[in-house]
Amino acid sequence: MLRYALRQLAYLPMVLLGASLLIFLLLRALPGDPAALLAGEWATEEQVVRVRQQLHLDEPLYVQYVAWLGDLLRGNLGRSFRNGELVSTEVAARLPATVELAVPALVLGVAAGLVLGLLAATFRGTWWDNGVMVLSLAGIAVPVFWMGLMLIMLFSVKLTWLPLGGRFPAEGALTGPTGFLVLDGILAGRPAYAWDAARHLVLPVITLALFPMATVARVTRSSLLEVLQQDYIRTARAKGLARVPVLMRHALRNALIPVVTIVGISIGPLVGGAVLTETVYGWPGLGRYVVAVVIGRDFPAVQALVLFAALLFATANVLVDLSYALIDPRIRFE
Amino acid sequence: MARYVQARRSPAIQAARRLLRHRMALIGGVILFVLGAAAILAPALSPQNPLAVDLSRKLLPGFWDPAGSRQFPLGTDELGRDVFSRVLYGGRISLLAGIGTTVLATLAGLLIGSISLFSTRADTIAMRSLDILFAFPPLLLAMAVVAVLGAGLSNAVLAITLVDAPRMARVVRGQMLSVKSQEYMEAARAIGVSNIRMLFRHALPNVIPLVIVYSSLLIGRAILTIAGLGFLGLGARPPTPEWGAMLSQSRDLMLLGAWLPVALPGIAILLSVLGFNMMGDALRDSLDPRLQ
Repeated sequence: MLRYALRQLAYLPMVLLGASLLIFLLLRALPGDPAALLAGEWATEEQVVRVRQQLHLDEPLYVQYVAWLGDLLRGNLGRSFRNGELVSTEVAARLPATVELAVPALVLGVAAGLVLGLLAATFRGTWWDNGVMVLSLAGIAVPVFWMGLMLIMLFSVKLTWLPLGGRFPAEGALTGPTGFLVLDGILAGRPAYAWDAARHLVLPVITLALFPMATVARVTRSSLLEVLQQDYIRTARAKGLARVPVLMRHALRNALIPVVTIVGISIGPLVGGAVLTETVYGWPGLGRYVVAVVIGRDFPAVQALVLFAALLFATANVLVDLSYALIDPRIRFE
Repeated sequence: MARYVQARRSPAIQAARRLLRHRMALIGGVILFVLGAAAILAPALSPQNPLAVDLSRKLLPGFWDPAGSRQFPLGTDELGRDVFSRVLYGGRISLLAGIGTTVLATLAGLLIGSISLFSTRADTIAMRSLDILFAFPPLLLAMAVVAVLGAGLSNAVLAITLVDAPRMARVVRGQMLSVKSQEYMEAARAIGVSNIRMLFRHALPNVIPLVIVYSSLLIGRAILTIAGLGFLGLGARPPTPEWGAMLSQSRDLMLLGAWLPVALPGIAILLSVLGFNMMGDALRDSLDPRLQ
């Protein structure tokens, strides 16, 4: 188990090194002079040259790459072309908002998907089963941003139950220890604030949870149906165990491997979904920042953010691989 | 000889029979047929020019409303353009971009995936390089490419091709490796069949069914991603009637109570992705009866 884990972990830095090289070369391949862009429209030739020197853009590519890697390892993600801010500061300011949105969405999506898939498999062939299947087909095919807009239209415009968008209650931001507004509101002893912040979260979380829910429900159902046909399930039932314990202890655990795989696979779409969801709801997180820097062609920020996303994504994938070993003892001894 | 030919053709015919009996294939096929026909016949079916702006008739309701007009059956958007015509023409762009992306990605994937048939070392290098592309969340990689190339529909298509091609390559490679170890491949090699002939005559026919299944699933995803990039302002530029871009231009109209310009492009995306996904599932079931 330990060797397996170490091998997986050892591979990660190599992939990330490759990813950093790729993103570095990709953004150097573009036409135009970043120094001229940064120096501004009215800069003189000398000013452009000075900026070029400051950014080391006049040095050979490999020197630039090594310098950039060195900066990254020291936690320096570079400075934004647009406002000269440190990209790391901009990321740190927005990370809690994205985490507060994405983590509940993933948890909700996986939990709801498991329950729906379990129900569908248990009541195979009934209207329950058909309903879950239709829901999951639609959940995979629906565009995230459109779903968000429709939910806003129904719950915010027509019914006016929930806020139209944004993250902050009317009182504005709250500076707390965690950066998560709901948690900080509770910690600060302001339940009304926490409640209002939670109301802002409802629609974005549901929107983002839809895709993982649909995929998890679908895979749980088909995986369970396969496991339920196994001999050991029949044995367990035959020796007199009740339906529910057999389902939960014998069937579900064995059906979980494909589910974990699909959770791993849906992390990629989750990142993309977060970008779209934040844009729809005006959620001030990393997703909206990425869109802004891509539209503004703010290359140091694009470079840093895409690499940061790759780091999170690749790490999550390794964790998924490792969790197989937790669920299935056979893998540990391979 | 005749019997041999018959025996060789029958798996395809059997698969076609299974497909015709498949309920999902029927529903998906009908959806795709209607959407495809609407897109192809858009010039004949559209009551208006999809780009014609006329502010004097902006935000008209649908024909069922007393204030609506038969000439603008589903109303108009904020610039007075006919929503129905725009959604019809949008199908040409979104469907074609989705299919085009997938064709490009499939060709690239076949090329890269076929390496495994010939050289283990080249295959290892190719797969390790692809691992790097897999390290990026798909939409972010596409966005980075768009950041470099600039926003636009053709750049979005290229970006998504770069995202999807490695996925197709992995699928092709997996199947190639399993084909490679089959006895008939060994026999072919033993009697001195050339590499090219081995690839086209013996390996590819056994890989293609899986490629068809996977590419039909990729089309749905490509349509979604192109619409997503359009919605973010990184894909098709206005006034192009691309479904995702239409949604993003009309989103504020919801607050004015005009929901058709927002709802319709989304329903069109949903239906086309649903159609391709159902077709893909049905194809998988019919081409590989073991999975049923």
